[in-house]
Amino acid sequence: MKKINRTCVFISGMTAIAVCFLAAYGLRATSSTAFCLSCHEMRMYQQEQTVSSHAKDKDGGDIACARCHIPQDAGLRYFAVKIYSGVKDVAVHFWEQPQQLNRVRAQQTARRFMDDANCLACHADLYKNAKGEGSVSAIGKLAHDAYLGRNGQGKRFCSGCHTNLAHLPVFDRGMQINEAFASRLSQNAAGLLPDADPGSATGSAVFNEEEKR
Amino acid sequence: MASVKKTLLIGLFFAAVCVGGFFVYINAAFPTVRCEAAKVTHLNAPEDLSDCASCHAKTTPRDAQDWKESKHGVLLVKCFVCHGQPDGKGAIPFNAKPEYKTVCGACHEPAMNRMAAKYGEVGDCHTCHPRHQNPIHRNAFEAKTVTDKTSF
Repeated sequence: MKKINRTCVFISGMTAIAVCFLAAYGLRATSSTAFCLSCHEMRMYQQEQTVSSHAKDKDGGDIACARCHIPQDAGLRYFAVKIYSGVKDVAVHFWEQPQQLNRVRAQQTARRFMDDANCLACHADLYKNAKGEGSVSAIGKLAHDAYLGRNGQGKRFCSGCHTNLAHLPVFDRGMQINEAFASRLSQNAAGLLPDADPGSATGSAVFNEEEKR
Repeated sequence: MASVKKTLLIGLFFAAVCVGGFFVYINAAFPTVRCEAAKVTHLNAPEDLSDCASCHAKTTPRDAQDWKESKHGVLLVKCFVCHGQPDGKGAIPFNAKPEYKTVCGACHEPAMNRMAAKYGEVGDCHTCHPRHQNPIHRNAFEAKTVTDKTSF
């Protein structure tokens, strides 16, 4: 009886260790850009990101989807966002069409789960501009004062004010502030950029469909 | 049979509690409205009720500046016309995201009807006309062509 118990404990322990390793591997694998792009509807967003100001990080490395869209600390927030986003994306993949996606709602959902810590990992000094070369604008200084609680109570989180940084739907392209990004996107679709993405024609086809709606 | 049913019910109950708990956590940890000012009721500062700009120039400076430069700002269509008043005494309910058909339609209904008849209904007003961002000068400068005209 004792022998059986020991065997049971050993098998249970090994199974638990194997499950932990598999879970860790699964979590890592499902956070990769390659995994995100395995769903064809995600390619449009990647094409936008590759010509955005958020294609590369401050060290020149590629920015993966998970780096902005999922909290980086492996705590409860991380697991909650992984589960919620994963289930939502699978549901959208199987039951909706990319052309029917409501990007206004998609923007709202994405902003909701943007963790400020992910932004602050690169943009540590909020009084310097994005490249860290000079100071922010007067409006930026006021907004960041409010964000840091030094002036007012208007903390809106990074993505509350900073929109269209890595993705730009058609309906936001007419805004003056998005002119440079919109221009890069159309140049990329026309193959005019030096590192133009040949697949971006597919992306623009989806956009055109979206625009017609 | 009765014990299987009981086990199933208990299982279902725990599954429901887990799913419910998950959504409660998601809503608490990731609120849909991520503005701390929105949590503070405007009525906490009654002396500022009539002066939206004094706070919003600090808390939402881009929105305030965009409004000021917009056609609505130039024509002094003030915040309460679209957003109502925090104390609920205005003509329309206080709402950060007003319902476009009623609010935009109050002034622009004839134009909205013409657009709908011509193009059909395409989203809401903000799909094409971003909320506060309709600067009055931008298009005028863009459309301006070089001329040798010296007098008006």
